[in-house]
Amino acid sequence: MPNTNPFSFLSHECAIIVGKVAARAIRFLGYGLGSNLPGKLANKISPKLLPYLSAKIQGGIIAVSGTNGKSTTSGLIASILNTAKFKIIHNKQGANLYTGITTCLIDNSDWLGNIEADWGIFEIDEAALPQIARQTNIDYVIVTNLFRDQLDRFGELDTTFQLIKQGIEFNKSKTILNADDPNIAQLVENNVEAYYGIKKLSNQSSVSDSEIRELAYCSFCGNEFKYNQIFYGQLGDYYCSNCENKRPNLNIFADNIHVLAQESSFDLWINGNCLSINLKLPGLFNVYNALAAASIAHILNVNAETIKHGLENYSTLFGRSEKIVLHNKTILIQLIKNPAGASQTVKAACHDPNARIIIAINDNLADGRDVSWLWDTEFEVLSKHTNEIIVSGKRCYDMATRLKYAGVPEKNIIVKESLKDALLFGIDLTNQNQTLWILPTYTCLLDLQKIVKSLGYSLSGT
Amino acid sequence: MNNDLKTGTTNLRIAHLYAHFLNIYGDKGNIIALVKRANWRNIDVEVVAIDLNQKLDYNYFDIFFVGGGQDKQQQIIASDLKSHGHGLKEAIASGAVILSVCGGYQLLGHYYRPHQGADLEGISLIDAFTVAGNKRMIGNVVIERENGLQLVGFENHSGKTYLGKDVKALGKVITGNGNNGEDKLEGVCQAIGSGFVYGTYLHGSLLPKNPHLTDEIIRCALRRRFGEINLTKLDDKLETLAHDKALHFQA
Repeated sequence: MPNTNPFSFLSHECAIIVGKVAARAIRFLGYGLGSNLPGKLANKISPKLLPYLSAKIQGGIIAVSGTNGKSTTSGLIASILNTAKFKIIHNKQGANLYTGITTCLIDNSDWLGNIEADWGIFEIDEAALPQIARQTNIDYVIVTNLFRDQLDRFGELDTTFQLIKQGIEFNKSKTILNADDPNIAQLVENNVEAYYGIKKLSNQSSVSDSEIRELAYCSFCGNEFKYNQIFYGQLGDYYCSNCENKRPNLNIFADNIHVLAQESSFDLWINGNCLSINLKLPGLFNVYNALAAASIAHILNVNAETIKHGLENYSTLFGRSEKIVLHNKTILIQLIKNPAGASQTVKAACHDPNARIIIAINDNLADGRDVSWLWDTEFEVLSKHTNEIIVSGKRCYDMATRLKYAGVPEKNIIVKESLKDALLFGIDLTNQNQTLWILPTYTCLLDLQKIVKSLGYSLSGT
Repeated sequence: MNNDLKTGTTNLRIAHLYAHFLNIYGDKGNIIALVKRANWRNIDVEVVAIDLNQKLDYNYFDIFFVGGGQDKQQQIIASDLKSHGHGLKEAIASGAVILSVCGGYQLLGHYYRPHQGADLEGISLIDAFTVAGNKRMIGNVVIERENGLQLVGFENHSGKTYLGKDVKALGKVITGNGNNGEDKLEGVCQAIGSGFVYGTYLHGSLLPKNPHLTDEIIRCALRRRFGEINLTKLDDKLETLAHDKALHFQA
């Protein structure tokens, strides 16, 4: 920040007051969640506000970064630590840039800037991680995975990798890494507190050969990794065919996994102890999120029963496998934003024989402006889906075309440009024993939130 | 359904070069579009992924496709592609079609000159070269071809490509940057012998939303072994809607 700032003589306290007033005004007037702007204003007044406030968190800061699973992983951690009676603060609205973290700190401080919290749990955008790490000491960084995502914003995957690495190395943060993603497992060598992963999958049928996976090379000899088993994307049990390098030994892992329509069960192994977990979240990707959360909880000495309880009683966050009942119909909302996550979500929806499906695609900055990613996503599984599929959003015709080329009969592709029409139509089609799955991109999710509100209901982000 | 073709009488052979390395940005969509639009006309399609150090039967394939990758992958494949340069040139001269997008397109020229380090040598299939630019050109693109038809897509590149004066561009830029953001040209569409070289920066993916181009490429590629074939008209309602909507997107 330039020192020409006319407000620079004002104190942190002033910034906090401005932030708090702005947050209240935005929320009171219904202009939105106010999860970024208050922090932005406050940072203008006091550029060192984030380090000032974050230093007041007694235990420390846990950051969750990586392409997919940031929100749910940090939500699961919050659920476990809450169950363990820790006092936490958490950017649960998903505002995960510098301004969002600042806003979260302001929200959780009193008017004088006092914060009563044991742990700060922050999901942090990959590109924002180095910037935030330079301003505050992050104790633990959990890295979930690394997939192609919004390349119009991030540039290349290698760039994202470097950003996360810088973010970790700046404070020499301790890390918890997804061992199954070879790029993540090789991110750093020192200060790794735990590697988590999946022991094996008994049902291999779920892996498709045409699935896009990121390339991964052995950091010792440069050879491309080979796999004993692939779980999805490039996540799996891998080894180097040229040298001794292989997937690290798993400190915390899942085995005996059964992924059902909208939930899953698995054995969670921590230090030789086995917990049987029933996770009320769909898809294999959520098993990974649970593993990440269990790992950090274990490191913070939370006992096994509390971990189980925290995982199983998790209530979902805004648009992340969030379930609501609207006009007596069950709706499950799962944000989609990149090929890896979307492929898993589509697969999960197909797992549900009673699924009705709406896919809503926008191309705003927050969605990724290039919709090429739709063609890297495995929509082909929907060709076997017998019900109509509704598409909506600014790019509804791109999506409709994608479904056509994925082998969905054209008569089953219903285009509703307006998301509200799509929602109402979808609700009408859905029976009492069915679930309406809505797969929106980010700004479609925000639109959906407003529409749901106008119908007299609410999503958790509201 | 089809007057001209019976199942099994015609087939299309596609070599997807470095599918494993170059697939960063919906390249798969182009293959899907070629396969589907051929299949819908009872034309069988065989797609073979060609890896590094793999022998390539230049005479066998009708279409060669090269997508885009990250810098590291581009470097890995560049010298291997170079080894196919001569073979590809002959294949195209005798009627095959090559379609290349983004990174693959750059390597069809003489070289790619990065900010630092040595030039990445291309295969000089077309008289063109690419230099690394300072700003990334990102956004929606509309171009108009010589025949008046428009193509829509999305560009995301910092390399600036310049065509030699005898080389034909794919189209003129209406919206967006195109080859270099300077000369209002986008891509390349150049006849070599009886074959064609197509190159472009357009993702989107390119072919699904531009079915007229997809069909042009299929027709062109079939000519090599089957002569002139009338492709049955397909119902392109959805594709056309997607295309027409995209004409009005902001860059």
